[in-house]
Amino acid sequence: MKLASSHKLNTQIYSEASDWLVEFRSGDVDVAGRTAFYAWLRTSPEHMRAYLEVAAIWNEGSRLDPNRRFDDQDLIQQVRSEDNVVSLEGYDSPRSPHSPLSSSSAARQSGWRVRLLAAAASILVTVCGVWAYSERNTYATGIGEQRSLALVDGSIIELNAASKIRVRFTADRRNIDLIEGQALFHVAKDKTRPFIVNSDQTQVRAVGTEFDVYRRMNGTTVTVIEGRVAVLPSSTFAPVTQNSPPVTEGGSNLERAKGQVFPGRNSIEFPSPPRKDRTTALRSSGNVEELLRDVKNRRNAGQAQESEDGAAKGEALTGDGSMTHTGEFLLAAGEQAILTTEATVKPKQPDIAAATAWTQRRLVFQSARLAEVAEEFNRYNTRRLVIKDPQLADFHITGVFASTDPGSLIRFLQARPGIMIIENTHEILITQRSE
Amino acid sequence: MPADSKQALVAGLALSHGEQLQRFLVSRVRNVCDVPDIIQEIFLRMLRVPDHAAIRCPEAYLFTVARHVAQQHTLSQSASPRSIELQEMLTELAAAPNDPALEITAQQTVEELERALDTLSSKARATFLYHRRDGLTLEEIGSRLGVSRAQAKKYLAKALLQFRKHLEAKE
Repeated sequence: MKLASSHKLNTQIYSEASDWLVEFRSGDVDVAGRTAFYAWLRTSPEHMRAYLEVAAIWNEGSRLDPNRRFDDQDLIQQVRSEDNVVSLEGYDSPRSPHSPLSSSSAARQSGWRVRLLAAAASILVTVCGVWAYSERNTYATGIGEQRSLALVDGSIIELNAASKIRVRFTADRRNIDLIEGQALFHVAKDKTRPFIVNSDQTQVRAVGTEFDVYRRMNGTTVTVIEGRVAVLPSSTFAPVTQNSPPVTEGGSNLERAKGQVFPGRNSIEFPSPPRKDRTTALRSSGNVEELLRDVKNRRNAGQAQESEDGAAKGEALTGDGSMTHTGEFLLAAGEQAILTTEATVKPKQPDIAAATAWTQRRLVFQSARLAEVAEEFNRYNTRRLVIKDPQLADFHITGVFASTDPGSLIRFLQARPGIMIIENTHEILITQRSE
Repeated sequence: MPADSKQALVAGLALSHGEQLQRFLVSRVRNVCDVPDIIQEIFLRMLRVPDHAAIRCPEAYLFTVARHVAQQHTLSQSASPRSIELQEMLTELAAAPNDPALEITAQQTVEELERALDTLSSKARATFLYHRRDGLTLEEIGSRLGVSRAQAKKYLAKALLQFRKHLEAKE
């Protein structure tokens, strides 16, 4: 070959990319083919780049020759006249290892592809878009693992590390249970089938939009990137609106499993006095009626059960008329709601980029408690951050970190006076330095 | 990555991936130095998926990832994404489906591809136009040209490769 080796390689990559694209577009890729394609794609960025470029040409191809410069007659005649002269097969490239007309050197190039494509050609498979109806409709990620899911309706879910969702589509609803962790939803528009995410007791309903739901130990954070969603804080009060379909047919498996009625998240507060401060807050606002109602709630709750949460409080709230429990509120693009057992908070200036930074493997903290920072890092790293001294949990961190590299955080902490880091094979201990 | 192939890539990506990505990439043409980063990020994300057998449609997955990376890139570019700014940005994006700059880029590419049609082998040209322009199936093309389905696929791939070569020579 006279071609420079880099050019030869380049041609080969583009040739393989073209083969793959045609395989996919003709629906001839089976399971083994998908695996092989994925392996091929992950060989180098060049492969991926070549594939994207070739796909672009393919897409644009439908716009070619709209004036029929080449009509049917021309095309067929050209082919016939060419057949009568010489076969021009392969004049344009050293390629097509699976071609019946390919040279022996091409056939030598990659035996696996010949086998693969022979297998692929014998089976017609519709490859895409069967996610949601598969038996395994629960999807989970491990520590440090992220994953994108394409649903049959065209919606896309990006699943963060250590997260789990269940997809339950019915004729009139698209249900997603966020069993744990965090996911970013790009919802395809379908007005007749609302898209509903259940996180703990919180229901987030969208028609066509993009939003992030993060289920933590102590609550759920909903962040809307585009469009608008309706948030129903507690599904135990589901029958409040006619428009909101009941959540019983499986959406509340989790609740049943836990065997308890959840305390109501019945108020939106700006910003967020925790529940125990509510009386004070109301008193200063001078709303006597509301204050009285609040006191009554607490007394009812107290009679039935002393604990802060549990069935008693739920009952009390249920019996408290509709005002505080109709509950459902709208969140628009750029808004965020943090729902905990104590309250629902809508930060005035939520950091939307920070809420979705995880999709870029970044962690963004603004004056976050060290305990929270450690919890976040532990979603991505098997070597866990452990805070040995409880006093340190309230140490505040601001910064942007790579989620898979706690190193920069460790170095930052090490530079703090009074903090000591002890690393072993499976833990990174954060302790107070004994002076 | 040499500058000319960067341009080709931008054009390529802009054509292949959804309106939002197109708009984004077109707006980046003036700042081409971001593109290798984007490609690298897409690639890294493709690498990160450990359970690749579970990906039902790796091709669709690739495009999805590409779209996300571009979106995230857009988000991260807005320095302090307060809600109002973000909303404005999204409204702006949604309100401009026919970006003239995008149209020009796409139109130039189509013109180049038109020229490249003349350089295709007759079978590759016939197969590609029948399939992409006229929407004939591979089987229909096969019987029209007297070739097998597998051969028709081969001509499609050849056409793609030749188009690519032509674009590369023009860059």
